[in-house]
Amino acid sequence: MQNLGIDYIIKAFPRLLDGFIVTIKLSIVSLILSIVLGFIIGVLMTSKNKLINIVLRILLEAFRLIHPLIWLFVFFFGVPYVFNVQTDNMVVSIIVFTLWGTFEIGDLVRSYIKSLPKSQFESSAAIGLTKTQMYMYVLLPQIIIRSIPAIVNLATRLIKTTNLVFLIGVSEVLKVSQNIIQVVYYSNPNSYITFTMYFILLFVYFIICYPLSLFSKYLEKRVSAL
Amino acid sequence: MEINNTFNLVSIFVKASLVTIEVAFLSIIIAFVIGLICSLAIYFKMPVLKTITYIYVEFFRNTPSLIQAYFVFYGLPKVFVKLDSFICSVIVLSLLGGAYMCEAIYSGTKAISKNQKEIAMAIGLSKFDTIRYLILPQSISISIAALNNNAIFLTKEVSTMKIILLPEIVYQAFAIISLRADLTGPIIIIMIISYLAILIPMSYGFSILERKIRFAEFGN
Repeated sequence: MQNLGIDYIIKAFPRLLDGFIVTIKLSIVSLILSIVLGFIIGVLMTSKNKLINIVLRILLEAFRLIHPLIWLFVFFFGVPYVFNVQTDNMVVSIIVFTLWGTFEIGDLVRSYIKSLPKSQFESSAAIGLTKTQMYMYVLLPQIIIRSIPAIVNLATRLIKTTNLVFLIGVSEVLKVSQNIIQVVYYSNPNSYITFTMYFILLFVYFIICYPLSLFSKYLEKRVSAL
Repeated sequence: MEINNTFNLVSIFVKASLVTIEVAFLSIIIAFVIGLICSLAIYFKMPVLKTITYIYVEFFRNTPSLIQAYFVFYGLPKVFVKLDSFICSVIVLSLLGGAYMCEAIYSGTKAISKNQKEIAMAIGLSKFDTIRYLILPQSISISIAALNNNAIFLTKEVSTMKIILLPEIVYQAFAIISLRADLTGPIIIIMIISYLAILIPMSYGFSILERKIRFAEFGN
């Protein structure tokens, strides 16, 4: 092994960090948006209106069956084609990942509401709560606690999946590392930089995601003991 | 790539879909085998293998498949051999899928009661027979839903192999759009249709399979 290229990586560290901040920002923004929208969609999914049900069902299946990469692609190329407007790649990525997360959480919330005993609905009607009050004070607090493990799990998956956005030109960590690799290759074609760089990236992602997934498993145990 | 008529366009996408199906099929099968071996290694608590399996599963579950693909395709040739994109995609997806399949099958084996294992021992079944007649049928029938989900997940994940130049659906769509921007609309529609044409029959078939295999379940 002649040149692992570690010195280059240390030199370029601030840029890599910038890339990571973009990744984390994207994940956090879409996670927060999808939690809020997911609960709304989840409650809507339990409604008795047939039309709403069917539309949401189709959207849910669409976002489940089709990979986020293709959605990114559809929004990034399709929207300018149809509406003749410029798309910003960061906005497109946030929209796609928010929609993806929204339907993931929405389906969970729906199944949790369905699994609650019927007596809760009836007794909250019996003590004279309105529908909003029933959701606000009786149902949602239980569901929020139960859905926390799944939300942490979704956060891990978001962090892992958001690096797809470099394909539509967002300069997140993968894009930055590719740029660095190109520069190093230009000056020193014999270095092992590709090997080191991708290995370090894998390792960093592992360090971020592994504790989160352990945390999610731990929470799951705690919640199921409730 | 010459694009002069609709037939040409469709034939490109049919070819790309075939590549997707091929890669998905191979990697689902290899992943299933890897998952089976790994889950048995954990189930029987084999000393060293168990630790290796644990590290392997957690590593592949907690890193992005995109970077795994890059690592295998661009990183490894420097220190190892150069592989073409088809083999690379199959390797990456089988390792990724193997980690998920292992988790699924292992959770199936956990559901088998300890009694049964002891009874198998008492009537003198060998280790192989215990696996063959007791553990596999039950654990697979319990975890079949998760296995199906993983298979569909792997098929979807083939599209990320675009980045290591596997000529599958998304790769072709990108390529054609960069040549002919005026075809964007039709291509997006064709792309989605080809994915649905693969995935809808697949998920339907799996739901039938699930119903069939579920009969094997014992007790519950």
